[in-house]
Amino acid sequence: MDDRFLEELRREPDPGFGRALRERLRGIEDEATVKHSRLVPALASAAGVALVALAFTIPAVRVAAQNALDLFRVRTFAAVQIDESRVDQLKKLHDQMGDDPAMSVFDQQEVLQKPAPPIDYPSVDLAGSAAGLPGLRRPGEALPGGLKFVKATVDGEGAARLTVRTEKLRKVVELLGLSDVRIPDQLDGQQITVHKPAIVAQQYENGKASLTLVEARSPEVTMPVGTDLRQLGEIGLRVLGLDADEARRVAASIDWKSTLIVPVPATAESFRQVEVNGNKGLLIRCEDTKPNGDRRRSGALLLWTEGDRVLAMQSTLPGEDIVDVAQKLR
Amino acid sequence: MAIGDEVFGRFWALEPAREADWDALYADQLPRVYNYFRYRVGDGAVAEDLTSLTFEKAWVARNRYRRDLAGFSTWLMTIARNVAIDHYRRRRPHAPLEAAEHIAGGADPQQEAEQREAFERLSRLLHELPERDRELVSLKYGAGLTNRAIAKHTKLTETNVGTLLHRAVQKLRAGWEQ
Repeated sequence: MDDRFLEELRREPDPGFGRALRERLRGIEDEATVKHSRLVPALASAAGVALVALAFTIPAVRVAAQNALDLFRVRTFAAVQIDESRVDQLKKLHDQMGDDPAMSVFDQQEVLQKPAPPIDYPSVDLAGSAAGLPGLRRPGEALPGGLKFVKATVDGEGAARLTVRTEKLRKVVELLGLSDVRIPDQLDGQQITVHKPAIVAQQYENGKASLTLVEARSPEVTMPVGTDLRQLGEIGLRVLGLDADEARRVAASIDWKSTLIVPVPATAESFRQVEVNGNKGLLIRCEDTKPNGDRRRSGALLLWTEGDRVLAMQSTLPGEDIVDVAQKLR
Repeated sequence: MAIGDEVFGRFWALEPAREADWDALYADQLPRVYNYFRYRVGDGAVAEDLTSLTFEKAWVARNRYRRDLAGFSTWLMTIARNVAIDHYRRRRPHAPLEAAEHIAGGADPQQEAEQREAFERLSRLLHELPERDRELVSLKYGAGLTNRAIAKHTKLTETNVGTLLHRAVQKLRAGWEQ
């Protein structure tokens, strides 16, 4: 008996046990997510990095005279690089704010439409029909690496109304050490409504690589008319870590009624604007690392819009490949 | 995680590139934890139950370790050790050795039977070791930890870990050859 003998008696867990446990953990994951206010994923799920920034940068500007509300819809994306220290600060802030990160900025949350739980469908057409999204885009030819369709998942639409509290916002800004940032008093008590549309995610895999194509109508955020959106956008950019001059310059160059700010961590390999069938998109390339710091694999995320639809493609394929796949969608 | 969270979370705010890949982490850590329990309590359903309990405990608080994956592995083994301690506290005195009845899928049934028999024999010898020695052997040969990592977990010096393990293996060898 020696070391080798003792080590060789190790054994892989039974595959059935491994799968069952993984499924059970996923169930725990889902429960935890539900507890954390899944209703407003556009706000709550982003809280890890940029909840506060979102609250500032997403509001609308177009005057919708019929209901006296400004309406925001995603038409284009703008990337803003965010450094690790600010990511850490925002994460800590999020942790301090308790169970529901949305409540770090808002008071009250009124559920207007409770989203149905995600449902898997065996075909893209069935999923599109269930989501009320006819004509879903799909790969026009064989995918690289022999990726095959696995399933299409529909995440139901939902809506919530939230009330802004400037006191909370000021605390957030203070905790980030942004002593020169001023929060407008008139923002207090304003209500914003977040409408998350039904989302379809098509999943393709080949055992090693994966690709997810997501499509939805633009999420909408409405808020009362009269707010200085450029000023709010500038504050949001400060929260993301831009200095005062840079935030002012960028805020002045953005169309705040249709541009979604995408904070890109400094650890991302690269990001650049690309064109997808005549539409401007944003390509972000990332790399994953093992616990020992070695590279494990690379991945890419492509965001673009087509008409009233917002699309995203996320894959472990190289960035150039997913742009190519996106160009060939039918 | 719902796709709305998964993908729209990335729309709004990309997580850092070093965000944990939980599936990969699970695949990496499951054999380590499972084998730790096999060596600690014996083969079979109890090892699986304790493995499940460890992962469930870790899973609910995993977001603390979203980026510090090395920290997550250490933390997971700490939970596993506490689960093992709780298991023995709850266990009746002189409870029979967990049955080595679990049969893993494999290509060679005869080789598997031999391995199972060998492990069953080893389990009996392990249970004759003092508690601390059995823990060290489980961490070393079950979980596959280095002496340095074991020292960190047990608050022993690395040299001490090496010495104790050497003696423990000598005892196992003596028992095996009887």
